[in-house]
Amino acid sequence: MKKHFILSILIIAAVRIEAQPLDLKSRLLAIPGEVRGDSLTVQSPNVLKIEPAAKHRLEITHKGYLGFGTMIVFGALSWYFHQEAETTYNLYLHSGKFSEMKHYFDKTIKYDRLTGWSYAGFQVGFLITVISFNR
Amino acid sequence: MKFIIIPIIALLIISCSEREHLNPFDPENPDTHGAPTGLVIVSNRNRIDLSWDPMDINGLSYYQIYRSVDSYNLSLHDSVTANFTYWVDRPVEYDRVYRYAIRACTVDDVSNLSDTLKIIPGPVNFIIADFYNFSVQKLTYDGEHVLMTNYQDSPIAIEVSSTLQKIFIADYWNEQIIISNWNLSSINSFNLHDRPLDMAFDPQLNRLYILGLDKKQILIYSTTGMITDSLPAPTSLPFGSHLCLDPKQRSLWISVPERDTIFQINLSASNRISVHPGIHKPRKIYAGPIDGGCWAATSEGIVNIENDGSVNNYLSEYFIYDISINAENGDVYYTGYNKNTQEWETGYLNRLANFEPVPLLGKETPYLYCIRVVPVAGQSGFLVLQGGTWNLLRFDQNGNQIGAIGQYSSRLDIELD
Repeated sequence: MKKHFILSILIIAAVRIEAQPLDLKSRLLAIPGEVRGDSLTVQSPNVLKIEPAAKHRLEITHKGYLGFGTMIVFGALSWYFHQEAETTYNLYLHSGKFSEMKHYFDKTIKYDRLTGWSYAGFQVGFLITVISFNR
Repeated sequence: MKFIIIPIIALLIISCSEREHLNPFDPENPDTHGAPTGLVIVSNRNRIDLSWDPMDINGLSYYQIYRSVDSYNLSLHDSVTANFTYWVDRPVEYDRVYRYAIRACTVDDVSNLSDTLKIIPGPVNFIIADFYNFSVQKLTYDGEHVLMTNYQDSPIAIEVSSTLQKIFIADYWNEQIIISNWNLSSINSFNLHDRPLDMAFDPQLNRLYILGLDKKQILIYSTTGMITDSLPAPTSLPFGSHLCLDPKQRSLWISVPERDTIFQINLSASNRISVHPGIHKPRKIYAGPIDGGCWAATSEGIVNIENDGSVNNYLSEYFIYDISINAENGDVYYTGYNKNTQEWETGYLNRLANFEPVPLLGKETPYLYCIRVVPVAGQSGFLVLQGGTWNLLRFDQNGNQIGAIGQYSSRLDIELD
């Protein structure tokens, strides 16, 4: 789960946010020849004025909500089934009765399988979430 | 898209796991097969001790002990409650084959039988000083089980006093004698200020005779560590020199392979030295337990020097690697290589038949460098060190292998307790 979360953060961080260029070159050419290159006597202070980039709004779409919800539901299910599998496996490990041992082991396998499927669902939710950013 | 899908598939793959049957009681467990594990078996004279690993399962009530004597058919012999993981069988009879296995029982089910282990109890144990493996070990009578191990820096020679129930260990590099009890625990030590090469014990006077390498001397100590005397060695002593004591004639014998000579120091005649030259590369030497004198393993057979100085040579076409003398009847057991047939042979010289050689093992058991016989009346069993495998092999009196244990180095001193 932790690994998955870190991976999500990394992918979100990789989405490019485009900014307007400062167009510094053309502004520099506009400076008179006698003061160009002399930073102490800049007579046109507006030349180096930094203009803020246009804001790019990160919108969450319906698809994004669906993906995120799927992730939450299947992540919780996956955790629950995993806990159940661990509990039954511990019961199996210390059982001194063959029939009980088999019962616990089979149950562990069943929970492990459910954990796997839930995890797959979580992955699908994650995939939908990531795709929702791709506009 | 590939950028996203590939890590997801990778995550799916690494998130897969497989459960293993790790309950020790589970017959599908690949390690235990549902049976108790860690079964260890040792014998010490007329008792056999069994121990095993505890089984951490619910409802465990008791362990069943299965046993057979001189047969493979195990039958239920005894049971112990689940609190115990050991069991003692006594009294047991010597030279009989005991086999044991155990089974764990819970309130509902019973486990599979553990591996079956075999042991042959006997009147003695072997004590092995392994110079290059830095250890002193006690082995069971059948030479297949380790009773106990104690680590020493450089144990080059050992002597055993049955009456004092002490083991004397000569430590080469530390130049000291370590006194151990029957359990190989060190109880005392004393410094020699000379590197010991070999050692002999005098049970009548409770004295230790120690061959000193650096100062070319024979140190005489009491068993409490008091020096009583020191004698100059008749020559310089190389690493392969050996010493033995003939308590009957009160003589010390020293073999010096580099000089092809054996020296005799007569302790009852003012330490008079007799020189016996022309003995090719004498190795281990032993005093004759019945007739006195000295027996030596040489590169040209087995040499016997009698008390009057006469020399007898047996198996002169053999390169004899080691000899051991049955203290009960004087038979001389040997292991060597026949230079004519180019085959290895192990056997004994029958004292009652004028030291006629009796081969016991042939070329099928080669490279036997060291031998130690079990002292019994009549034909005897023995323990040998095999080069190459570096295992100790235990044979019964008929030459049938009854045990094996490894691995040891080439320089051993073997005693019996």
